[in-house]
Amino acid sequence: MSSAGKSRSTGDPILVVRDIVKRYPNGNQFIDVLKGISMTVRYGEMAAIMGPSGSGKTTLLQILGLFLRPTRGTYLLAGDDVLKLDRNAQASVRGQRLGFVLQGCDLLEKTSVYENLEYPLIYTRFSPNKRRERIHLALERVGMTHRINHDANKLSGGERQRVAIARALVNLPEVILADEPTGQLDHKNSHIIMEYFAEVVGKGDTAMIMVTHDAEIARHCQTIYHIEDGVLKG
Amino acid sequence: MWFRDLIKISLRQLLRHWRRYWGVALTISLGVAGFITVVTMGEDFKNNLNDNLELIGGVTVIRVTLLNEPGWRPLWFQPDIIDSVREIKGVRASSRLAHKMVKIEVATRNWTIPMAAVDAGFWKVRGFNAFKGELFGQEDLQERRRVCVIGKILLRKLFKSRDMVGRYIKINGELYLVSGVLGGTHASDLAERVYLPLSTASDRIPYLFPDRLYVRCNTWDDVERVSEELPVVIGKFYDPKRIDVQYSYDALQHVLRVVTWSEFFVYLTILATLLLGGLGIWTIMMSAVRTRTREIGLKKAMGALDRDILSQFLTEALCLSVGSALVGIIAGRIAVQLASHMLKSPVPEDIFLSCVSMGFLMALGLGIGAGIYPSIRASRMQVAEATRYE
Ligand SMILES: Nc1ncnc2c1ncn2[C@@H]1O[C@H](COP(=O)(O)OP(=O)(O)OP(=O)(O)O)[C@@H](O)[C@H]1O
Ligand SMILES: [Mg+2]
Repeated sequence: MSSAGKSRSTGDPILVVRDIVKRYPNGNQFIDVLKGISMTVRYGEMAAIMGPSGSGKTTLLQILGLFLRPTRGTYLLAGDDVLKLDRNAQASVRGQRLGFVLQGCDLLEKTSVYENLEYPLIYTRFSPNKRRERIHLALERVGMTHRINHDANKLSGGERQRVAIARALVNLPEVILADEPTGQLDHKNSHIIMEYFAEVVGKGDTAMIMVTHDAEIARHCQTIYHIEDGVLKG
Repeated sequence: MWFRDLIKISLRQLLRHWRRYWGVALTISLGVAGFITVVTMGEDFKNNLNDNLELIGGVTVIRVTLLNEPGWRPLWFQPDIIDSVREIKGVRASSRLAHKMVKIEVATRNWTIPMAAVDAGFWKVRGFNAFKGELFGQEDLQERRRVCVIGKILLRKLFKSRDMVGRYIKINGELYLVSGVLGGTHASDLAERVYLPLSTASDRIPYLFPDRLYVRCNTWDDVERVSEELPVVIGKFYDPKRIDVQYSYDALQHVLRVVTWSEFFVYLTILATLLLGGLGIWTIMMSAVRTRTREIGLKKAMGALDRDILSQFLTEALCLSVGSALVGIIAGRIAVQLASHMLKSPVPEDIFLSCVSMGFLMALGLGIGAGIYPSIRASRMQVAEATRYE
């Protein structure tokens, strides 16, 4: 990837989107879920997106995660026009440069913590003999190394979410995208999770964009966007 | 994705969710094992059935008679005719027979009894055995010994069922040692005779010519062809119009019908089993595309390319079918070994090996055939929809 050689330093823009429109067909008509979203996120920045249910938060995050192509708009990731890429190249960007925590906990069934974290490394052809070290590092950041060989489904809700975050970190992504990462957690665990995020992003080589309903959680972030009627309000 | 990882995650999926797959795996294994056993041992099994003449009603025996007419030069089966007959493909054995009435003296009373003079191979050709004592053999014929075998009915009629083995009886005024009593048949005309070695009888009974030949074929499949070739081969020696070839046509047709239908049903069952296995793979993979939608979405979010998903699903289908085939091959080998032990004939290794490779190819075909479409569907899935899926 072209970003490999570029330096990552706090304050440089990593993610720049302009005038993103997402239009869904609705019977004979259309509905514009996103009506021209523009935002810039920098290394070391944590951004929260808030808004009522159905306002398009997940849709925006899916566009940023290259799950979905916008109807219009531009999207530069560290200067690369990632919307111009084909399916495979976008998949590579997802694997190597983005990290995801999806809405609702998403660890794979009947797999250990280690195996869950190995998948992103498998898909990006990460050298097999360096995997354990890398997985260990990611688990260390969320304080889960002692559970490395545990069955992922037998962990508590908070532990599962921490593993999901470790999985998003394992490929050292430039941007972490998290859709309600604290949605199913209690107050205490939510703040623990946010502190892990703050620690990771605080190193300055990553940015994070998260969706949340909880204003108190959003307070951990430097930037808070409100999305209403398909438009972003800073 | 590296190939090693592909195999690792596919096998992991199959083994950790084995409850989902074992039914299909069992079906395919059974199909492959059945196929290997039937094809490998089928020929041996057929030969074995054909060994048991009584079981198949003697349908593999052909009777050739030379039609002699009084006053003409006698027609009979000379040794060179026998040699040419034995060269016909599908002929297992043959034996000549000459018959005449003889006089047997019992306690000063004379009986006129039908006599058959036969080669040493006669018993084997007709599937007869000794009810008591022994049936005379090659050595008795070579030495032209005066021995005889008597039929069961004859034993009762003439000797009141006394044990005659080892005693002498007088045939045409000469003493013959009774070597045994004929078993293996209940037909009255066969059980009412006395049997002599052809060589001995030819020496001692004037104008005795073997004008009848019994030919036993390897299997029921050979009977019709051999019976057509016999007049041609013997026709080189004698006028074909005076050669009469007979076999039990109706019984043969009956056996052939039974055999054809049995084979048909056996193969149909195997085919149905394999198809069922294929259908199972198809169903499993199709439902997997639905139930594992979120997993697919998640993997794509983690950077899986379309072809990574495609190859994972296809590898799962292939591991399932080929793995089951491997189990089937092992089970088939065991079954073949057992069958070969029971039939007392060695395993035809070349047939076995080609069955193994065919079973393998079938499994490969099943895996790809039933797995490719679901795999393509899985790989084409949109990440946005898949990750929203509940
Ligand atoms: N494929 C689609 N076709 C049509 N409409 C869609 C599609 N996907 C999403 N939508 C609509 O877009 C709108 C925004 O959905 P989205 O999931 O982004 O909301 P959200 O802000 O994440 O809501 P929540 O807080 O409940 O998760 C919704 O009204 C939804 O029905
Ligand atoms: Mg949402």
